[in-house]
Amino acid sequence: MPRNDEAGQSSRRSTLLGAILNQLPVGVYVMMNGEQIFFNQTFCQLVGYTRKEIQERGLLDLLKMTPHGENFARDIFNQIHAGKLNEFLWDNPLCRPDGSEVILRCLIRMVDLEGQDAIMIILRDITKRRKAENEALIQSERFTLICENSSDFIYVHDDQQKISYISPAIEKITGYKPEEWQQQTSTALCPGSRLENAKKATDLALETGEKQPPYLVDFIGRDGRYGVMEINETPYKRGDRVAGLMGVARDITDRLEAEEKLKRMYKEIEIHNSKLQRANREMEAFIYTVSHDLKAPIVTLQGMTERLIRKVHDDLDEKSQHYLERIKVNIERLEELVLDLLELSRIGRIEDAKEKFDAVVVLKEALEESGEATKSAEMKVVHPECLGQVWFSPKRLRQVFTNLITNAAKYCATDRLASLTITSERDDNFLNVSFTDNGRGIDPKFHKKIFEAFQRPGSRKDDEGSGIGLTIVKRIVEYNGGSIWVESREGEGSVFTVSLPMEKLHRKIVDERQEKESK
Amino acid sequence: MKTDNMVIVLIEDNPDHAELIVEALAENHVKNEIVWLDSGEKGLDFLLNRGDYATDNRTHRPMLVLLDIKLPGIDGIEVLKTIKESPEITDIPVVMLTTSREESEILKSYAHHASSYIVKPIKFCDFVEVMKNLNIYWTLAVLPHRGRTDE
Repeated sequence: MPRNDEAGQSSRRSTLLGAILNQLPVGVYVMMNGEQIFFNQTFCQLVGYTRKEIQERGLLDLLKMTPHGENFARDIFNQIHAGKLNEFLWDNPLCRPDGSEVILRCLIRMVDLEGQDAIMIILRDITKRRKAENEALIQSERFTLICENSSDFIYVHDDQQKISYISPAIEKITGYKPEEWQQQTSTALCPGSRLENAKKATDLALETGEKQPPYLVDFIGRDGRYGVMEINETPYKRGDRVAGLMGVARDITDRLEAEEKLKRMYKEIEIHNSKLQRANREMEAFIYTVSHDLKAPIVTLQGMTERLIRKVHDDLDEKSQHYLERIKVNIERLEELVLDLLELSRIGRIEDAKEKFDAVVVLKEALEESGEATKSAEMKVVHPECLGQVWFSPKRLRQVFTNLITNAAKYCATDRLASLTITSERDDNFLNVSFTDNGRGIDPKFHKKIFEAFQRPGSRKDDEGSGIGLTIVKRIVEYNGGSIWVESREGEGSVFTVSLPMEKLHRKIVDERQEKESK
Repeated sequence: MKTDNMVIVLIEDNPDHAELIVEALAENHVKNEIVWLDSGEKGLDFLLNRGDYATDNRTHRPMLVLLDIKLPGIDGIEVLKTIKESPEITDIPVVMLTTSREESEILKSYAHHASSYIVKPIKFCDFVEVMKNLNIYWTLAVLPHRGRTDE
């Protein structure tokens, strides 16, 4: 029964076709005269409705869920029906009833179904692809944003030695637009000997695929301005092959100029410094020579005056005796002054041997040395049994201490019991030894001045001495890496503090400290 | 040939200083002859019988040399060195005269075998002290004196 066979074959074929259609990764929907003819399983899954829901509501009702809506779809269908459109491709974002969002690519076309026009819709899920495309777009936009806005200019160099991209910053740097730059020859743009090395570095990077150290090239801008660029090139690969390199060029003309200027300034400062040092040394040598030469006439004056006094003193009237006496006193002061000057010039000239010892040892010696002064001032001196170890020249420290003690005695209070208290305190690598008296005190406006030579602020006529005692003290202390300062108010006593290194110090620490203090 | 072993040689360029020293000794009744030479060169010529003193018929072996540290031309230290390197006069005591107590100069003098030093202006008592320390005080011809001395 051939007919039956035929019917059976046709039925089998249509079952097979239905099964295949249901297996397709695309959604298929066929509609004729507004009636649903067929839709496959994938279509249901893509739109998110059950077969039953689609059958009951119809396609157009479902299209209400899309942003373009029902009317847009109806319009498309009509146009296709009327033969105005062959087919229509339409990316359609869709919100499924379960809330998930997809983007469906929708192909609508007319098909011939047993002599009648039918509309076939094919749906493809392009959500993932679209997402990837979007991300790529964002990336590329970002890259463009970076390239176009960087103040360095960025370029891409392919392995054919052709520049395929130059970012617009080149115009700001050279005055040339990217395409103008590409038209010029490299020797015209970048004169000078550096170009050879630059080319070598680029070739090496392309050959080996390894990043080369940054290099410099000279360039002449459109306006004739000379400049220097620093170039950083990074090769990139496609598979195993070096495909090209990306370069970043930075205008470092100003930086180089600034560096050059700084170097020149350093040099000038150095020259200036050595001049000052020389002047200082000459000054010291001069002071030494002058004060040394002054000694000879002073010796003569001393000797002759003494002999004169011995010879004629008793025969002179009172006034003349007084004159002679004043001459003698003044020669003594002159001698003291010259000796102090000699001492002052000696500190910088002669290196004294330093050692480590407890400062109290030297303090006791100094107290003994200045015993006469403290006794005549009736000054009570208090100090602890130990002060702490210091790294200093013992001879010089005794000079410092003696000076501070005799000063305290000289400027002691006359209306109350004079006292001097010596204490010590550790400060990092330094030992701060303080001399606290209850004497006349010093107005704060003179605190800096008293350490300068020949300054005796608020001096009274009975003040003896050259006025450089504290200058000598300051020089000794600083020369040995320490520092000295005073805290005092007029009438309220003074505290002189000497800060002495406890260990042999690195020169740098001393310099930093003294710099800090001078501020 | 006569040997003058009672002489004191004074090498000092400053005439005032020389005068003060000579007078201080005279005032205190030191009767030794004092020979004053105003430069290091002349001092060495005298001591070594050369130059102006080459034809001198005396051998100069003074009991003491007073030598100023600072001299123009040949410096005091140089003179001291030459004296100590000359065998015939090396044993004569040399006392350095200085205007200051600057240690470096004094140490340098001792390094070259100076016997002692005195700070100017010379006080007679300092001079006596040095003479006693050097054990040559007895060679001084001090007359019994009347009146006061320089302390």
